[in-house]
Amino acid sequence: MDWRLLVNAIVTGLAIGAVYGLIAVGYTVVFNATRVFNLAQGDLVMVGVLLTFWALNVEHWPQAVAVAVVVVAVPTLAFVEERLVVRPFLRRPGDNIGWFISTLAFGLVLETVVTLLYGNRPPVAVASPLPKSAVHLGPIATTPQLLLALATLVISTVLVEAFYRRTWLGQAMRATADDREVAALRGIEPGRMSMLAFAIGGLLAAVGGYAVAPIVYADVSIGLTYSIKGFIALAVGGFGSIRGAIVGALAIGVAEQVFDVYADPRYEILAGLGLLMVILAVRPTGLFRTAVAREI
Amino acid sequence: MERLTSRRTVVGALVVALITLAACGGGGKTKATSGIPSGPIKIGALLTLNGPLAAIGTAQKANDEVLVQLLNGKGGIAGHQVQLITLNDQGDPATAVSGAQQLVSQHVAGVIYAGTSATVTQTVPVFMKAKVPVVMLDPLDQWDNGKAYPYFFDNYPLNQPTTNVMVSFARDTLHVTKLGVIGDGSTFADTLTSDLKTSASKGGAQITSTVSYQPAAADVSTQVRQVQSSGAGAVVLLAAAGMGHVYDAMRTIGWTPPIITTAASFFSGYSSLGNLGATSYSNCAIALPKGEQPDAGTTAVLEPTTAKTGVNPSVGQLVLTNDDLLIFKTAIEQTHSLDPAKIKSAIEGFKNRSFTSPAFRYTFSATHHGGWPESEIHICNMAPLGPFDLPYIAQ
Repeated sequence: MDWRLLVNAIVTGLAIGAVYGLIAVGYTVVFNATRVFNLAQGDLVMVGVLLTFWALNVEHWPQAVAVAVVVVAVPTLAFVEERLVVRPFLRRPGDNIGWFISTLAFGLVLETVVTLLYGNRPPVAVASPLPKSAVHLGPIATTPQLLLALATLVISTVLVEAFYRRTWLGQAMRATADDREVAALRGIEPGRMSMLAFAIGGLLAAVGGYAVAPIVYADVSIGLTYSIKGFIALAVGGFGSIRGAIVGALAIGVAEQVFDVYADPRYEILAGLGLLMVILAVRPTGLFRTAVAREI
Repeated sequence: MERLTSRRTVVGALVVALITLAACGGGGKTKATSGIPSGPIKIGALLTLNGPLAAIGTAQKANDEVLVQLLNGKGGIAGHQVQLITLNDQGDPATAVSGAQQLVSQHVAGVIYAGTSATVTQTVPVFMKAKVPVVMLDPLDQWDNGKAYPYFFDNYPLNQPTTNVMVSFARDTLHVTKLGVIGDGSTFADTLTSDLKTSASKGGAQITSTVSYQPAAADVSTQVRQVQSSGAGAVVLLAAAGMGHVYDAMRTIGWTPPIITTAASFFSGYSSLGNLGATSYSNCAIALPKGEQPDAGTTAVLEPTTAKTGVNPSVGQLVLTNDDLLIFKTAIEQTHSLDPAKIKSAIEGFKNRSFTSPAFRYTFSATHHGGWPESEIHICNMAPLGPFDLPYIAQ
């Protein structure tokens, strides 16, 4: 086996992991505030991708306008999702997981509507602001677009972490996640925190969709695939941990590419699932889930 | 007494005559001169209108509708209008089988498309059991077997002779005998890969590596690097979706060998081909010799259809689908019947028969239902394309 093949696979895996990471961080932001897994997160990214395609390839608008359209439209959709299909379940007393089906259904509705709007076009490459030529680092070659996805993940993570730690709203969101009733007694409106969390999750999906559009093409069917991979990344890293989500996503990206080198890429989903099984066997809470003391 | 007997004879003769007339006329529901029931002749099509192969199905649907309009404008089949019943198989075998059963229950006289590679092997047995004739383009070798598939007639180059041509093109024209195979993991790709291996071993070529990818993958450079490191001198790309990712990966790693691919590459990823088009080749059925124009018969079909649906990569397929309709028309008008056995028998009698264009001739027999002659399988340049986006023959 040529060592360069393996090294390139690992580098490509890290870059693809960044794509999964953008989805996993979106999951985590929503989960931390609401204890809800937004299973439509991958479809929100898909909407971001298709809106980017529409703005750039169909309308031929400038990149800045495309970004503006995407970062307004996708968080708005996430906001609508929160109000229509999540909030009613959060209001119900006791634990219920009705949101599990409702967020999944919302994703399917998005996919159906976008399919109807997209029409009979085949999946095509979305115009990129970056050059198409490869970036070479010695024997390693990758694309500027994959590096952009990686950079977007890093910047998004830093900003989200800073929001949580340095702003009152961020701390209020975390307090709401810990105990909605106590947070409400302290003057925090849980409904607003939930809305804000979905809007931030939508913003991450929008930025992610714009960044990965030239990589994944204008393909309506990517939503569910990426929702699943983002969720596996979350489970590997530990639910609720942003760093865990990122490490999980990068680990899955690398595992898939190494799997592709040594096994049949048709079954590369097994790489992530295999990794998840190993991690859960060793650390049932995932790599980065912090232990929580509970009073009984 | 004699008079009574005579009256009975006359009444009896009248009754017999009335019964005979009723039988011939079907109570006024059929024409006395034909075994074809009055009303439109129903023709079915099972297309994939959503999912990764939707681009192919939706283009087909638009083309089929215009072709049927053209046929009806010229009097239809035996004076009957043709009613096209199109169902969406969603690329799903279970849905496709259900669709096939629906077409059977609607008493279609024939089927001009029974599904894609993901579904056609499931639907054809349904039509064979119901004795519904299917005339369509599909590359699976098994359709040639007229005994196993008595009502299926294929008017497209079959896989094995196609891969034979691919290997000889690589060897004789590109002077490459080491071939790397990249597939999309579909049944279509797996079947062709298997045939390619057979062709390579017989044709003095070597398959250095076989890799596959998922069409929804974000990056396939790892797979392309594997093929590069295997020492392949050319890539045989056998896929129906996600080809753009393969072209991108080749550019990323800076490896741009000649690509030999299938006609599906005109549907998927063509806009991403870019500068690789100059060294990319595809098998082709409806194609033009370099610098030539399509003949009058082909133009007569392509002009009105592309005026309505636009020039698209399925125009070659459009000619073949028109042939499917004309094969049905000829067989039905020849036999004055919608009886499947009579239609089957008529088509099996077609020898060196052309329909839309004299350039495309089919020969069927009771045992061989693959009508496309091996001598007419070509390899074409992927770019540039000719009039109506028809490809030029590279050989």
